[in-house]
Amino acid sequence: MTGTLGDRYRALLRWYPAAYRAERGEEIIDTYLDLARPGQRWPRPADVADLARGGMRQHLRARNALGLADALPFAASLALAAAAALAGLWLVRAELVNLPDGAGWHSVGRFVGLGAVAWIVWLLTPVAAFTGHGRPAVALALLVTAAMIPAAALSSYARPPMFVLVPQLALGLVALAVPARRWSPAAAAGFVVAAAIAGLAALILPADHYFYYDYYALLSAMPYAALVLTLAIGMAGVYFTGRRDPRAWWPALVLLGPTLLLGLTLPGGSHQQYPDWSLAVGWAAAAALIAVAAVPAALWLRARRTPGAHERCPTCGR
Amino acid sequence: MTVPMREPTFLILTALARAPMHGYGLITEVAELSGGRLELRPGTLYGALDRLADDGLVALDREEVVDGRARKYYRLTDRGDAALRAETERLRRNVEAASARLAARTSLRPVTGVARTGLTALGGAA
Repeated sequence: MTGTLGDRYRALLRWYPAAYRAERGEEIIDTYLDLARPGQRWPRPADVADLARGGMRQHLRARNALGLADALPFAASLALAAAAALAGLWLVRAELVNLPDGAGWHSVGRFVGLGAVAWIVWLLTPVAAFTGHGRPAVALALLVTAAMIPAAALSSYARPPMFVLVPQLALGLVALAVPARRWSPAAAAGFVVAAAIAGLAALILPADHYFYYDYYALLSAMPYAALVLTLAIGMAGVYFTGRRDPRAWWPALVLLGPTLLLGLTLPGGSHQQYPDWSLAVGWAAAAALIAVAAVPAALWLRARRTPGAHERCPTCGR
Repeated sequence: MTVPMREPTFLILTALARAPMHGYGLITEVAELSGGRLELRPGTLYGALDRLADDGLVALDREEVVDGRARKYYRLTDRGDAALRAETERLRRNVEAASARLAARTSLRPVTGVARTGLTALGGAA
């Protein structure tokens, strides 16, 4: 029975680098077996998650890039603050306008379209995060945001433009790594700053209610959101580096994709605040490609800078 | 400037301060030190041990065979000892500062306490 359980734990160790597994694998399995309950036949779900996380961290460690794993919760908190701030802006300035006579869609209560539902869910995610339920709340917000696209296509309700939805989804994907524990006062202060910036933007952005759906009049706010996010990442990078914190500039790498996608409207012409469809698709594809390729490129560079630094297991006695 | 230790790191070093320990022993000791609040899993524990070894704070002490299983014992290094002492001192100063503030706050409380008691008593009578 124990042999079977050991084999099942051993199978999960495939997530670790082969060299590390060869040196440390049996020790990890023996410790799991010591902790197993009488009659236990399968690894517990928490053990599976533990080994998946441990395997990922060892792969990063082998490349001298553990700071990337450490940076994920911070980057996720920043992404969640940005996503919630933007949701507040869209809800107040784009969804709470009067629907004019003759508009080709139905309103959702006192809101213009389906976007209001998603933005309200996004605004609740920081509250959920403060109580330790950030991840399921972000997952729900992502689901609702993505579901708006087919829902609008199949109904007479309007949805926000893709220029707004795509960066929101990208921020949400990063925000999924938000810490499961309750947040610190520093994180709360970050959210207050994000809310203040969003509130200020809602006050000073030009109103143009001739548009049926006010999003297009507000798209100019998105590059500014990218700028604020870049400044926050830059300040964090300087702070972490000064404190010799291993997170250093890794949050910049994690948030590269969402930041580039917030600049989706930058290639817009002088006659409109958004680019042509083909240009926008090209920008989004390039942003996604750069963001995805930047991670292995950074890891490769780190591994090259410190060759052989972690090829062995330091506490294995070899 | 150094980064404050995370709680699992602090508790692992604290557990090793008494004597060298193996992985299972460390997990049970950390759980006891945290009053059952922190349950390290092996994947997390060995990842933390490797990281502490990278930083020179822990090292392999010895290897023993118990019930047919090879058990490795880990110990605190001199550098780990110094890091744990520094973090303990930092926490002690924080606790002292908080205790002083709370003591000052308590000395201001009796008036509020009497008022509350009075209101509670009135509410109870009603």
